[in-house]
Amino acid sequence: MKRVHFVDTSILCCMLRLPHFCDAEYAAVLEEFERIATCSDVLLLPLASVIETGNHIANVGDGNVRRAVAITFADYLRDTVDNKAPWAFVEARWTARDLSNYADKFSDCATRKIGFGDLSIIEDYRDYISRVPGVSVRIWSLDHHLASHCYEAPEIDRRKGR
Amino acid sequence: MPVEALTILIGANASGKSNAVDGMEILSGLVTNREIGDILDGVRGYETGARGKGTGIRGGSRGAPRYNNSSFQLGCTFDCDSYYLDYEVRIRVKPHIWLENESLYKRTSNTDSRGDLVYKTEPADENSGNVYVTYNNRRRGRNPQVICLRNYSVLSQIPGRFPSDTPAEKDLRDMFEVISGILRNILILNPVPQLMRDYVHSSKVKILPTGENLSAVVAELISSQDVKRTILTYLQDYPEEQITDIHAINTPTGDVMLTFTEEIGKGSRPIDIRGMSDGTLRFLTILTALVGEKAGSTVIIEEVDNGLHPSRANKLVVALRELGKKRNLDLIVTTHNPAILNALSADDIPGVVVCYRDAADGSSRFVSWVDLPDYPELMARGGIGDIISQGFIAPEPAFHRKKQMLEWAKRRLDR
Repeated sequence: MKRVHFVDTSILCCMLRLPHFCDAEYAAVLEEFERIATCSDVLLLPLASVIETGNHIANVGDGNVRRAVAITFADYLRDTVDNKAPWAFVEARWTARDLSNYADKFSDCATRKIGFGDLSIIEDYRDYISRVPGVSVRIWSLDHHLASHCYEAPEIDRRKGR
Repeated sequence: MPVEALTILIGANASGKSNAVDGMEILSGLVTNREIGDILDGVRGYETGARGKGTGIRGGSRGAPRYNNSSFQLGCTFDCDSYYLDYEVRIRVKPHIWLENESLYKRTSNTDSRGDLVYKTEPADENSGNVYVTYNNRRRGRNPQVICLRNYSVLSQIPGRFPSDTPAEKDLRDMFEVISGILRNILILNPVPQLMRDYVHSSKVKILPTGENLSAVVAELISSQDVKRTILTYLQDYPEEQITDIHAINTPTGDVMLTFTEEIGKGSRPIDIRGMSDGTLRFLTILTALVGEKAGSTVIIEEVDNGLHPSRANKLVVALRELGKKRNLDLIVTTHNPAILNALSADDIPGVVVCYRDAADGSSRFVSWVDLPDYPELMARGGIGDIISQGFIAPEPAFHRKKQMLEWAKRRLDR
């Protein structure tokens, strides 16, 4: 079964070794990255993870560290464009219909302390599941709520295999 | 080429989509009692427009083999519910157009293993117009042979030349009936609107590939109120051209022409088929085939969206999906239209087949969209129409996801 993992902000921040972010989890994230690579699973990068990671970088206190991490993050983005990154970018186009969907859902999410970034990653995850048959999907995150999103796809029913 | 209930063949120009359709046309011709030469080159005097029976295939017999070869091979697998039949034929086109070899094997499971012999040709003498065909009589000792002509397929000669006395021979006759049912009921539709805008004799109720007898076919179909409602439901849904009713005008001499009631604003007016737009006539022809062809048939439509406004793409896809399922038709369509490809639902995607030219030897290949090595990544870009618009043409030949991931980690991550 083909399997994709949506890369959440927490994973990107951890890979970038943002100060005080997730030092304890770094080894575990690397290990999971290698496991995913070994299985030849697919990583997908949603837009919200890019924006949120960028925000976290801009909030780093030490100016030298801030600049160094920002340069590394820019490299990540260039790698993504050049097809050299370990993930593929989830192309995002928000239409009026998306906005209306977010308008319906956001107040409830905010009440449960789910931010807009998380909401949009969850929506990307759901949209992918609805469009792409035969691929299992999960959100890879250090956040328990996000990480609970996991979908096992059924095999595609095809004539060839019958 | 994989085939599903709805197969959507995509690929660049000259990738081989039309050749695949030609192949299916030849196969469907081989089961009829036409000479192989007539199937390939057409019959003079019987041309009825593009892809009409009698015109032969693109490039004719000489265009069928590759490069400077003098013969070509075709084959297919028939899914007969409880068993599979593998059919193969090789046809020589010069100096004569005739059979090189032909075989039929039967399998009970859908594996790659070769099944049991049903019949096969024996090597024929270079200059002989006859060929010996060995068939399996499921008895000990040597299998019996029959003599067949080389300018027709063996398949088409089964009813006339093969005995049908023993159980094995009767089974062979049954298999022929199954194959014949599948191949004869392939309709290759290529609607030509300008041929439809005239009276047609009302007896011509089986739709022709060009749709030139559309009036007669629809006139017959709409005599059932249910069918009429179905056609109108799918046809009506366009705000810019509301067709609320279809009638047939009959002449005293037995000809027929369609008229429509069109609603514009608050009024309605009659309009006959001569005044209908190309796009609407093409769409009506497709609908007519979908509601009118015998259940279990195969309908092939090249450039299915030809002449269609992109806003109608979704309606067309829905019609193909819903009517194909309801009427138990196999549909094979080709398209370049991103709007059509973006309108496909998750259920349709397993039927998308990419046709492309092999980078090394230039031959056409087929791969299911969902079998592309980077299928999960591609789908992150949006619908298949978006992906095609961004320039996707063929599968990435050197795609190593794992290697790329590990190399990146080495370069960008601290140990």
